Amino acid sequence: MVKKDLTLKHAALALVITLAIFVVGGLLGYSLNSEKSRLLTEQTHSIDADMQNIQLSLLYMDALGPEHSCGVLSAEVGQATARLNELGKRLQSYQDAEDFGTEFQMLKDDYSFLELRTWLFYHQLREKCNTDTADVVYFYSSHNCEGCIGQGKILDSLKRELGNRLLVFSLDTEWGQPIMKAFMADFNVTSAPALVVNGQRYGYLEEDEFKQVLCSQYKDKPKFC
Amino acid sequence: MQLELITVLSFAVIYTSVFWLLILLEHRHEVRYDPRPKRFPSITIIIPAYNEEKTIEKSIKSALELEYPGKKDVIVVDDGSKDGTYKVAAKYSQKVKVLRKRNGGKADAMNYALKHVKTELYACLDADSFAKKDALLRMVGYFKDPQVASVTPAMKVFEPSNILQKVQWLEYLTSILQRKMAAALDMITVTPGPLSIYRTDVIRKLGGYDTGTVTEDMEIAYRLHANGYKIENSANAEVFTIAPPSIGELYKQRLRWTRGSYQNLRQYWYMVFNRRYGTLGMVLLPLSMLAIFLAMPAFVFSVYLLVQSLQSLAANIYYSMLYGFYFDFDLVRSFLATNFYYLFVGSAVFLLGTAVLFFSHGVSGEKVSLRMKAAYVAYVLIYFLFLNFMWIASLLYEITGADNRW
Repeated sequence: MVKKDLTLKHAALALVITLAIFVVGGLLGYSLNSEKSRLLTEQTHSIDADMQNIQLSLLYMDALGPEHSCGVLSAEVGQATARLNELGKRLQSYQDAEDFGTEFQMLKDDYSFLELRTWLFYHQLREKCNTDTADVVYFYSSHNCEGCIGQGKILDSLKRELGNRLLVFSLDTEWGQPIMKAFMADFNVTSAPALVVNGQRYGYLEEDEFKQVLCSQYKDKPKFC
Repeated sequence: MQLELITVLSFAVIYTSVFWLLILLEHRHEVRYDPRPKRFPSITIIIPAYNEEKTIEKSIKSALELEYPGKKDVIVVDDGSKDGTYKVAAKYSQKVKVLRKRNGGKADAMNYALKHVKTELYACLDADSFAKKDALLRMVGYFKDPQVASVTPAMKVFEPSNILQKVQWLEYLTSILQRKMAAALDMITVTPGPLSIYRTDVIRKLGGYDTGTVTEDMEIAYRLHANGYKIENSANAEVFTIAPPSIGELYKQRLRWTRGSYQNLRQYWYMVFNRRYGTLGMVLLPLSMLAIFLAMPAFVFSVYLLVQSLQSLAANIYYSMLYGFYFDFDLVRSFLATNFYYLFVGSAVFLLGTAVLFFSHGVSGEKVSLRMKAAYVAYVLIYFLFLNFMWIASLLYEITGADNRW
């Protein structure tokens, strides 16, 4: 080592390189983040279109009688909830990964409105078509909810077992819209996790308790009853 | 909050790594080079020892076996040992001067030995260390520059056996690189106990070692800089030291080092952001302060992340065991769940860290070995937590003023 130089030059160059790394990282994050919300928005719109379709079919049924479309409509509602469940999980993943802003809030609003609409449609349909299905409204919270991981896993497991005969509607208790507040008040839900099955509110349900509750909902009982 | 913390912490890590790698890039042809000595000034090897009956013999032999064409004396100072250190050393009294004094700490022992030194240079060799035979030959050439008052060697961990020692072996390799780069910028802040060489008259003129500090090898380095002297380094002069084999001993050692760092920073505060002290004052000391400042949030945050991910992993395993393992992979969800900013910055940290480790092997003439794979992982994932913890723990000790002896 012969040369001793004051290396403010190196210090400055290191700063430039480091800043460059962060700028590239920031741009990459930003552009892929836009891609993420575009993807989720697209999916939301597509489910929304399905929903218009279902609404139209319900009107049609009102006019011409249930025998004309019960089967098709049940299948459509089933499909819509399945797609909504997928969207819900994707939104959760998105929320886990990013420090989200207003754009995310709008996506979450759209998603939650869709969940509520589907649930309402489902109830109309159930009344008119007398379907042998059960539904669960699952109130969760994405922050500070100890039982939510477990309750989610139990719901997943039941859903796998019952398939289209069980419809799950998930709603975040922290979603601040007035309709949500009214909904929670109607069912007396104050904290997560909470479950509403056929108008009845429950707190955290173990798998066996849950199965018991569900069994009473079906005419043609599932195997585990 | 998480975004800001990750950004600040990774910024500090990336900046420091890039800085050192730039220095390395510029000096890449010189790192393995040592100036050929034109003359061999007389030298004394001082071995200060306190309760070292097990290792002192090896250190004395190592001092005697050091190749050196010039005059070479060896002095052992028994600093009031309670074990058989003196007896073991006395066996060599024909070839070695053995001194005995009341216990007063390493700095005091060095000052005592300095009174008996009659040579132009002297070296300190800790009693738990031993040097490769050609170490002195590699180092003395640097003294042709009259401004150079001390030359430091490349310290390696001797035959690491357990994982903790292997991790320290890796850490020492990175220190060799860092010290070599620091020498290039004239900002070495420690002349370690195992075989650093000094100019006798300079140290005497500066009043010998400060007995009030726990890390006299750091204090003397700062003092040399403060008085306008240079400290050099040879990456080829290998000295081996026994690394603490247990976490308790390592904790004690590091507590001493980190507390010493605080004490020296306090004592030489005026050098920080002082242009007179060149890169040391303008770059290294501010960077060290930044590192200390960030140690606390880095530690708390890393532990938080670690606990959080372990918790969610445990919960997942637990519920999967209860309700069946179900693998529902969704590529879109994986894409959504990835924070690409963190991924990019994290990859940069990882790549730079790997580069530093790789070049550390190169500078110290070691090969990357698969035998060390567990140590690499532990070094990257856990060891920095321990080091950060030490900065916090010793700060608390310094504030509360707890006792600290060797």
